[in-house]
Parts: sequence; C-alpha cells; structure tokens
Amino acid sequence: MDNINKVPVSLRGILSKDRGDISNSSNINAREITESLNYDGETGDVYKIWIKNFFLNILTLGIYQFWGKTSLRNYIVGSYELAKHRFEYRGTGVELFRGFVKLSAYTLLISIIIGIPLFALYVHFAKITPTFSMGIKFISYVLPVLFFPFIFAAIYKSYKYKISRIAWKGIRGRLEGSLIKFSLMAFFLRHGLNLLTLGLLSPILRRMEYKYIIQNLYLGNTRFTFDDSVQNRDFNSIIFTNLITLLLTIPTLGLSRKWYHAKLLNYLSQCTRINDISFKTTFEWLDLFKLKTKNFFIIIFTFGLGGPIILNNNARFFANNFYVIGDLNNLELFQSKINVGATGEEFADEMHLSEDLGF
Amino acid sequence: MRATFFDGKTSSSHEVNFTIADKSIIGRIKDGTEVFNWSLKSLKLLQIHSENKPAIICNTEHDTEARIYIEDSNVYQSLSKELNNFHSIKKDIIAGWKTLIFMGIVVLCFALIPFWVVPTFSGEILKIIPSFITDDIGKNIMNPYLRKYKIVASTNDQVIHKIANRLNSEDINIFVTNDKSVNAYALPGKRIILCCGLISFADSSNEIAGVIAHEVGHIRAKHPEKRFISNLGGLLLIGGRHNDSLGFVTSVTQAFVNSAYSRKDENTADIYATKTLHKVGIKTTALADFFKRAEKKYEKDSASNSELLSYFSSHPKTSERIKLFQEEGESKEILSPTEWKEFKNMCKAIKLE
Ligand SMILES: [Zn+2]
Repeated sequence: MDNINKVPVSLRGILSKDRGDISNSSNINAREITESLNYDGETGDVYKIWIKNFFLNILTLGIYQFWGKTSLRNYIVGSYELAKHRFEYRGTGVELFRGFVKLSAYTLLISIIIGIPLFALYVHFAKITPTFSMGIKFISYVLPVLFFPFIFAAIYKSYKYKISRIAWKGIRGRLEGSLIKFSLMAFFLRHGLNLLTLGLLSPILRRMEYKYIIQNLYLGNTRFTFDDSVQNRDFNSIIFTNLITLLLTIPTLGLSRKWYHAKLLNYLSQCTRINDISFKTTFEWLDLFKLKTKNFFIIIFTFGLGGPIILNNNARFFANNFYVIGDLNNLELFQSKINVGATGEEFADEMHLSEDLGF
Repeated sequence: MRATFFDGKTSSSHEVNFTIADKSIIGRIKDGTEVFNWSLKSLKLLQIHSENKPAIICNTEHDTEARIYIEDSNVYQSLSKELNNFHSIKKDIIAGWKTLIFMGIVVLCFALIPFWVVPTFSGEILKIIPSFITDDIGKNIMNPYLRKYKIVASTNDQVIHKIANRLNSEDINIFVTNDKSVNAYALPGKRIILCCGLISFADSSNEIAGVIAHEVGHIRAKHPEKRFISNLGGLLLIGGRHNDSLGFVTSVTQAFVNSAYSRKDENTADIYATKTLHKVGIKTTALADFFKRAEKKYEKDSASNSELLSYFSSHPKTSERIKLFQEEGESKEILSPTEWKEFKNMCKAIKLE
C-alpha cells in the first residue's frame, strides 16, 4: 500500500493490474498478505459525545437523539481503519429524523385503520356485554403479535440503511435483498423452526440467514460471495459443537454456547469473499465470554453509565479479531447509485435489535 | 498543500497538491492534471482534524461523494488560516446551531398541541369523544372529592328526582354532599354536585331549582367537558409535578373546583336557566331574591367567610344577575312544604358556622 501510493496514479492502474494477474495465477501467494482491521477510538471521546447527547436530548425533549446517534456513529465508524484507509459514516441526523417522522405517520395511519373499527365496536358493545369488551381487549393484545415478522423487516431495513452510509476509500457499501423474504426467513426459519427443533438446526439456519445477507452485500458495485464448498469438514464440527454445547447449556448456565458462537462466527467469516479477498475472524470462546462478562458487570456497577465503555470495548474487540486476507490494492471498486431512506431504522433501534452487526 | 483525494467514483486514492485561488480550491496530482476544482462556498468540513483522525472535506455542489482527507496537521493549520478558521465554510450539521433552532421549533410545535390546538378545537374534539369516556372523566374527577365528602342524597331520592323531573333533566345525576360551602358544581358526564351549605342557605325550593337549572345549563352546553379539554395542557403540567396518579387526579379535581367559567359561559347558563324555569311555570323572582340575600351576606362577611360563598365569588357580578332574574309576581313552589322540609333535613346533620 505504502509503495503503491508513491507511484504516480497513471502508472498505478497498470501496476495493480499486474499484481492482480500474479495473484490470480498463484492463489497461495496472494493469501499471504493479511491486513488487520484497526480501531483507535478512545473511551474518553465516546464519553464526550455521549454526555453531550444526553444533555441535548433533555434540552430538546429527545429530538436531538437522531443527531446524537449520528455523531456517535460518525466517531465509531471513523475510528475503524483498514489498509491505512479509514472508514467513513455518511449518514445524517436529518435522514434519521425524516425516517422517524415517516414511520410515525405510517404507525398512526395503521393504528387509525385498525383502531377505529375496533374502537367503534368496543364503544357500541361495551355497555351490553362485559364478555364482548373483554374479547375486544384480548384482540387488541393479540394483534401486535401478528406484526412480529415486521420487526425483522425493520431490522433488515436498518441494516440496509447503515451499510449504505458506510464508506471505505470513498466507496459506499450496499445491501440488496427483499425485506419480505428476509423477514419470513428470520421469523419462520431462523427463530420459529429453531425453537421447534430446540436449537438442533441452529447452525444450518444461522448459516442460511448469514448467506442471504452476504450474497446481497456489495461494496460499491462489487458483490460479496459466500463460499462454503471447501469448509464442509469445518461445518460438520460446528454441528457437533452445537449438539455438545446444547447439552451443556443447563449445567454451564448457558456459557457453553459461547464456544459454539465463536466457532460459528469464525466459520461464517471464512466463507465470506469479495473477489479474491477473503476474511478471517479469530474469536475465541474464552475471550467472548470475558468480554460479555465484563460488559455485564460494567452495566450492573455503573447503573447504565458505562454504555460508552461497552461500545468502545465491543468495537475494539471486533477489530482485534478481524482480518482481511488478500491484496486489497487489487480490489478496484466503483461507486453505485443507491438511495435507502432511514425508515424502519428507528423502529429496529427502539427494540435494541441492531447490535448484532457490531455497530 | 498535500492531501489524499477520493473522487467518490472509484476506490483509487490520489495524492494531491491543492491550492486556494480565486474563491476556489484546486487539487492536482503529480503530473499536473487537475482532479478537483471546488468553489470555497460549496465546501463542507465533515470532520475536524484531531490527533489521530484526518480532517474530511467535501463539497455540496457536484461530486458530493468525493472527499479530501487531510492527515498532516501543518497542512490543516495553514488551510484553516487560509479559510479564516473555516468560518466561511459550512461545518457539519451535527454541531450546527441551526439544527438546535430547528429542534426548538419542533418542540414548540409539540407543545402547541395541548396548549393551543386542543383548546381551540375543543368543541370538535368533544363531538368525536363518546359519552362513556366523558362519563369516565367525570367519575375520576368526582372520586377524589368523595374521599373528602359524603353523598347524603342523589337523584334516587324522591325529592331530588321530583325537581329533576320538573326541570326536564332526568338524565342528569344530581348529588347532594355534606360539603358545608355554599357551592354547586357541574362535572363532565352529566353530574351536578349540590353542597349542603347551599341547601341550608336557600330559603325556598325554587331557589334550589334555579341553581340546578343554571348548572343544567352548563351541562347542556358541555361546559365541564370543554373546560377539561381546554385545560388539558395545564392539567398535565400540574400532573407532572405529582409523582403518583392519585395526586394528579386530586389536583385535576382541585383545579376543577377552584376555577371559574368564562363570563360568556355563565351567561349562557343563566339564559338557559331562565328559559327552563319559564317553560315549567316557575318565576325567576326566587333566584333574584337568592342572589340579593347572598350579596348582603357576602358583603357583610366577605373577608371571614369568602370560602363559604364560593359559588357567588366564582360567578359573574351578582347585581347583574339580579337584573336578569328580576321578575314581577310569585309562582308556586316546586316542592311542597313537607318535601322542602325533608330536603332541608338531609343536610341538618352538618353543622354550619
Ligand atoms: Zn355557573
């Protein structure tokens, strides 16, 4: 990277092309280049932003949260660096606010459409039979459950939004894919079927969901791929780990699952590719366990004031265990036009469901 | 001055030398090719330079995806000097005071809903609120009051039922309470509270009929409901000061009992009262006498007993009302002497100073 930047731009294209040819002809050679993801965010800086957000949120009755969230993401994303190039968060508070207004309008509309007939029925029959009004009350409790799959649509929408606002070397990420497909898959398979089979199918279902996301993920115009052809033996060992840790769940108070989770995450990263670049994570169950335990005690002993510490620890932990294998200079990226609004973003955030991806 | 440039179209980074000339910033790569030429007005500082983070600059006119990264702090300093400490260029919206003003306006708009929109459209809002809700509101206002005072009689009692029947207001719940103040209230959900103090103060059943007719006037015009809705903002503020819902409800009741209707509303109720009394053949003279007597008493011991006569103090000028109710001739009492005696006896147990 260093060397190539000193070469005039006009020559660089040719040079990188040459390198590309070399790495194509001998894969082993290219694999030797390993870039680590770096994170240099400071807990103190995160605290500064966090405290500012806290007071401005109070002053503005919570409206500042959209701008506050954005400035926090700006800092966290901007603290990641890969191959001497920083990541950049390109979202704005206005976008989030607009998304919030839109979502509120939809929610209001839906509640009016469903609520008014229900309310009218209630008003009409409330005085006649108490059983009927009980029935109406019951329906109004059950109705939200029917909206459960939509939560996953909101999560996917929020992934789409966030990914489209993260740029590296000036090129934005992009997540395609259908909200309906993803939410049905997440609701019926990843959660429903998983529950029905008592977690036995967890590796297969999780891999399916991850695969769906990765196969719809782009950096500019370049698509990520999911290649699990070589790692079949690894996957068998994950299925085995899943069984063992499930059996040990109760005696170990659930801690055994960290072993499975670390193994699965490492496996899934191994299968991820973009062109001839591949990825590697080195999560260890003990580290994962230590991190989670530390976070747990920080939350308990700081009465929630330790949020910034946890945020920073998680980001650093992720970076310390994330590697990119292959020559990133070979990766020629081109911007693609996309436009994803922030609707749904708020909803998913409200439910604290968007932490999975690590930002 | 050196910087790294990304054109936003491809991922290749360019080492550029940039210069500021004639209200624009121009970047050239080593061979002299111009890669960007942005007007200073269109510049936006996305990230301030810090110890370990580069300054990020973009422009808002064209190629908005393109970025200039300045890592070198010396370059940043001299650019900052050149651009008058970035005063002339747009800084990131996150730190902008404009954003804060915008949020202030949004907050104001939200505050306008209970304090302006709701009171202004209280009539329209009332039309869509079903009666069982206003009934519930009335019940909730009355409950804290009933923790302090007892009901001694209601519409179920023969005498009160008779008055209500004569005044065409059988749909209204009238309660007599052992409250010794000379007062009467109309509450949401068609409720009237008559205090024993008022009944003891009255000389004839027609005087009571007049007061009830006046309160019915308030109810028919939905004044109590309107008052509740238009004071919602204020009531919420009062409620916000109390931590328990009990305190909130109590203060709502307090506000209801203490505050007065507008002159216009009182006039509407008075006119309704005269009309109703005429319709059922009761002359309003009794009511005029009632007010005259109250005025005298009110003058005499206004300082010591103002609480006792709160009904008069919270209503329009008594002299004006006497004029409205002044009428020649006498009419038959609404209750027979025995019934009137029975009515008065209900409140006898309560000692009045
Ligand atoms: Zn009145």
